[in-house]
Amino acid sequence: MDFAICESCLSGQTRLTRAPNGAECKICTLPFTVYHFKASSKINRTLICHNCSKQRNICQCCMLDLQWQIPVELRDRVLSAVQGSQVTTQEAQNEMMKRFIALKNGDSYKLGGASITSDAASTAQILERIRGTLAQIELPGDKSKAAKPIVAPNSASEVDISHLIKKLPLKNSLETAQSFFLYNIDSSIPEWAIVEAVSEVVETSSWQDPVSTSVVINHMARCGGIRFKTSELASKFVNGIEAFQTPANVTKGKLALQNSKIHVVAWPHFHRAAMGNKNSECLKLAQVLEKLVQKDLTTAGESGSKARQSKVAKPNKKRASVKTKKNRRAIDIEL
Amino acid sequence: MAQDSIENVEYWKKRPAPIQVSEKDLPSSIPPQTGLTFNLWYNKWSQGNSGQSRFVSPYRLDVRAHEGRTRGDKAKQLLFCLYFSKGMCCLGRKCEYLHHVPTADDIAKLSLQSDVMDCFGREKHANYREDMGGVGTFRKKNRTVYVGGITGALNNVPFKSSQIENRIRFTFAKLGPLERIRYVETKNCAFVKYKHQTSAEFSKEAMSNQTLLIPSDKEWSDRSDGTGLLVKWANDDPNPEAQRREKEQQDQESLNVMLELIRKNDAKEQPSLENTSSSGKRLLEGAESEDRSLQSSIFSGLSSFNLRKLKKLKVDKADDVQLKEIPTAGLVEYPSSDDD
Repeated sequence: MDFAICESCLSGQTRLTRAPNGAECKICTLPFTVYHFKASSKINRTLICHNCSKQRNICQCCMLDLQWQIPVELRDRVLSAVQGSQVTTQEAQNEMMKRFIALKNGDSYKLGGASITSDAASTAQILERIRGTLAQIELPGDKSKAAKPIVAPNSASEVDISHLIKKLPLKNSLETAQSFFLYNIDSSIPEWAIVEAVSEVVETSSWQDPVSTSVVINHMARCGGIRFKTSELASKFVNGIEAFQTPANVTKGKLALQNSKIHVVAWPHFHRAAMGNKNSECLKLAQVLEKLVQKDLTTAGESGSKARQSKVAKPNKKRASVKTKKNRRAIDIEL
Repeated sequence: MAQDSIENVEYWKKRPAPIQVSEKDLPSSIPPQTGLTFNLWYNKWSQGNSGQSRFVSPYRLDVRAHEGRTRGDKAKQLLFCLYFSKGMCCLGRKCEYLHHVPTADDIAKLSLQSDVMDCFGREKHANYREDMGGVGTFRKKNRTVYVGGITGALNNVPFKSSQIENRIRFTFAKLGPLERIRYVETKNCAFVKYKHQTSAEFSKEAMSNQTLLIPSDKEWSDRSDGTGLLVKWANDDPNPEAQRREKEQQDQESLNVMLELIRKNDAKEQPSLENTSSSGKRLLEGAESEDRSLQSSIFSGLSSFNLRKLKKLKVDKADDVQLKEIPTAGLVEYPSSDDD
């Protein structure tokens, strides 16, 4: 009997049954001896052959690393992060290479990170190294963050999006309405995080209307909209989030999320089409919104209030002033 | 969030799962004749133009109406009913599998199991199928599904692109927490990324061969004339921005794993100090680690700033490679022919 099954798969089971006919190995497609066993009221069986499991140092049932109980890809990533050199488990792409690798003896031939985790001494060594790496990273963390780079391809700048801007509530303030417009959404923020943040503010997760779309996030345009089921929930949301005054004396809301603050204004006419469909439209809209955010965040002393007010009143003119005011940008986007 | 999930969950936990289709209404297991002889083994007609014809499924999962308790809940079953996801389980509360959309709780329990099976208990394969359909692979965590065949699912009715996106968003959002949706108007397809892989697996089954028409459309009664949605696994997003994001997530994940490894190692050396890590399984990649990184815990100190530091470290380390390079055996240790 030779097999490699991790303890968490076996969970104390000592009786294995050999299947009468075996099966095809999921990795090398050669026939192998299958064992099955019952552990924690579930029947497990080996899916890959012993040789493949030795080559990759993985469990024959769950295919996680035998030493660390993590997937192969993750193990290789951790090792390459610690060692500074690329560690990958190269898998065969075609039939011939599958055979070729399958014929190598798994005791001596290790793929990728298996050469480390299959050997106790080098595993201990790597663990020490991980400890060192973590210590280096976790040095008294000064949490200063650089301003995020704003992607602004030039090709987007000549697209006309005045028809979108007309429909967007850029002049609105934070007031009670059933739906809201969100902007300054970092493209790395997933939709569920926004949903969770809103749920936290209104203290219930059933704020969405079950018969219509309640959350629309356009990551490309870095904006989105939410709609509440009832106006009570909406007013709870308005009261729950932090409000701030822009230089133009408009009250806007801020929803704190991860490292960024999403700006919130009322949007009574919630409308998906206003957020643009084409790539270029979305990118341009993101630029316009970015400028709006910068303007809202600059203090009154930094720039002439006259120019600002005219911009708020006529969002279309903003496009004309893109080039001239490029250098004026608040340093801290996130406040 | 805990109280939220209870609120959400409550409505189906209280009632037994209804029967979605009565047994006598189920279609025959023999597909309509398209060939000369019927192959019992593959359940297919052969000798003929047995081309895979696309169709609209007459059944559909209605989340609000169909969810409920089953025997599986009592037996602490972790797997979901495949027929339920397609809206055609004839067992109702007598089903041995779960009859509800995967919740964060289920996903946390499922991810303690390994990736060799999907949420319906089907074994995954080493590689994706050529057409990216089917169960998928155990080698890659894929949370994104490709949605094609949109025109067919709308019976060729010309809808505005924002309407189409809205419909996709509405139907797919009901099946799990979304991360992002990208509708590509020019290519007439959409990419739906979920928070968890399990949600992607579930929605892939639930939405395949479904129509995007809604009952208020005047074409609703003719929906079976169209062809259903084509839901498949998505390849990696080639957009550099998306790849950077993915990289950052992966770095965060490997950092978490490093911490966990150290913690486990310490626990092994001093077993009296820590008994909690006895579960001996890897971190939950989706639900827990992300929640943990949001909330205050050991990971709160690791911000993107630290990630950047880690990256810098990597670059530094690359300089003295001769020390650290492990002898990696190439796939081929000798040239395959003299010409090489």
